Amino acid sequence: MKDDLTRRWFLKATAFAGASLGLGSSAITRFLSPATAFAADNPDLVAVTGTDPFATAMAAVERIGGMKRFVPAESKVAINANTSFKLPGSNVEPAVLLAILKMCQDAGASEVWLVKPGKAGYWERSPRSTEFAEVLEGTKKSEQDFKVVEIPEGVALKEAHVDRHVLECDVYLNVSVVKDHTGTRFTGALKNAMGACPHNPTNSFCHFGSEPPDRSKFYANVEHLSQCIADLNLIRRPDLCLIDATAYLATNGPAGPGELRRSNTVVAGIDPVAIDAYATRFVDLKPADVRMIAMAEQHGIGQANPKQLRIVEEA
Amino acid sequence: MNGHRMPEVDFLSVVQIQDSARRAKWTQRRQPSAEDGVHSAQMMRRAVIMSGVGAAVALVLAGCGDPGSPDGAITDLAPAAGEMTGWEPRGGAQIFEGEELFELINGGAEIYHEFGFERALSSDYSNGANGLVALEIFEMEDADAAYGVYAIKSGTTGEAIELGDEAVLEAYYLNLRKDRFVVTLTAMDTSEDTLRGLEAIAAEVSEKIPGGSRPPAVVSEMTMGDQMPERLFYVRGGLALVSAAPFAAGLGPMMAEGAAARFDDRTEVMLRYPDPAIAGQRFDLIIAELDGRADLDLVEKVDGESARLEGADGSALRLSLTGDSIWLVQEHGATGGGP
Repeated sequence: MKDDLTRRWFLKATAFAGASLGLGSSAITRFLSPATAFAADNPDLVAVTGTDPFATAMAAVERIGGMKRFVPAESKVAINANTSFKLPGSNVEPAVLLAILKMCQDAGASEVWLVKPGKAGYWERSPRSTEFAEVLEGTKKSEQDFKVVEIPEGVALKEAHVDRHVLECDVYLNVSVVKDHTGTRFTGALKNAMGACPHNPTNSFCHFGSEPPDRSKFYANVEHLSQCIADLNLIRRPDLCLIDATAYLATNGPAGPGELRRSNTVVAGIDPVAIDAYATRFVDLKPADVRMIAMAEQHGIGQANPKQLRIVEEA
Repeated sequence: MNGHRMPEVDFLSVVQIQDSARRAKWTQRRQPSAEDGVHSAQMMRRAVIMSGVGAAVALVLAGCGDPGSPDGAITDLAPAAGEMTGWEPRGGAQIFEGEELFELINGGAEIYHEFGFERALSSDYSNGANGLVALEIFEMEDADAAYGVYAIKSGTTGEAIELGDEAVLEAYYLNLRKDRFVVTLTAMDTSEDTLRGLEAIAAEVSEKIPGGSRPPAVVSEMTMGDQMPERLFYVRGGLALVSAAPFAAGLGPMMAEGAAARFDDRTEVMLRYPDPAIAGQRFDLIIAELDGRADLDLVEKVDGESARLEGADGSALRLSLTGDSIWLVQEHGATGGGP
């Protein structure tokens, strides 16, 4: 990676409110785990651009403090990565996810679980998969065992079925691909929370607005879906979020095919609201265009104002 | 899931029943025009030609006493082994019925269901080397539903090609619609050989789908002016509405159907309701909802007729009520203001 990158660092915003950085309010502090309590000199959000997705992902995590900052030795890690789709630009690039798995294992994690089983043929799309076959062999796949969790502060979603590994792990990583979405217009870290839930009943409730699903309300209310996503993110805040913007759908998301855009960038951050707000630029949107961002901010999950964050961009 | 088969039904009868039901619900909607559906001026011309061709084919088939429909399985529409020179199906076809569509395109299935989804087929084709093409055939409730999905999936950057009722070839994928089917082919790489294979498979599938269709009548109504829109949409629910015209998000309740047209300087939306009384009720509610938005202010209103709202960015939004329909015109302001 170091060969791929020029070493220009930009401090985009220095309105750095000490260790608070959007984490100072009591509403947010409750989400903090030991893994996310970080040193004040680390940036809140890092965006690294490079030609090799594997190396770019490694560099992004390194710049935000290294995986050991988030993954203590002998910890159990659950990774919710968007691997559910088939067409180009609709999934996290396999090489990006491989890099994350490797970093977790190298950090000394006792168990690394993938919450999503992954679409058939997913790993075969990266030639790196052969190179890192041992990493894949050392990664466990969730049995898709979902636990019911109440969300007392949820506005639209009062309970959800969530993969047990997300609830039981020591460290939770949210790994999404940025892309267009037919309903919410944008998908990133916040929307990816649905990846830890089953289609029925949780996700169908988010989509349809009732349980059992009311066919007449199919996505009729994007507000409802956005609110459900914000509510869902109350359950467990990720310790680290990564957004893959190496190759992604700028139109016709989430499934594609659509305009395949290549920004060759991986974004890393500890705040799912902030990282989504930042990533809206990849699909030509502003944070205010995406309702779930404001709703999640309202919940105190994070904050969308980039001026309150220390952002590092490296190309 | 392999092995799901389409019921053995007479296609035209089904369409007629569905059309009758729709007509009963939304009376006097259909006003077919030869100047239907397009996504650009160039594509408009293409669509008019193809609509005519499609209609003519349908008429010829009907005249021959052929139901003009696949009364076999959707799997009959996918090229079988040995049918294509240089390209063979790989791994077998999968069929997805109803909510199983979420297994094929989890997170992307909703728009199909909103329009009325029946079943889909997914199959990969290989050239024996590294070339791989993914074929997806979506069988919709009716031809209007197929138009609606196709219009949202198709962008403005592709090249219109003569396949089906309409088809657009993009950098690495192709969308086509024919009758009540939407077909999407995606090249998993962009080599010339794979792209040629993609087009050949598309042509084969199109050939296998009988019939043809025109764009929905409400869409035709959007193209009656002198200026051709850049994009046209058919709408049956909130998801299509927000895709077609983001400013109209949440304005869809109680509508029977609708259409949207994007022009360079404005976006027009027409929402049609089951009857004028409902349209009248919704007219007032929509004005109130828009006025409640932080970025819009109501500056003019004539009860039961029209209203005008203005945005801080210089954009304007005009509404008018005509019988069972509400028209919204968003004039793009100096800062864009558009979708």
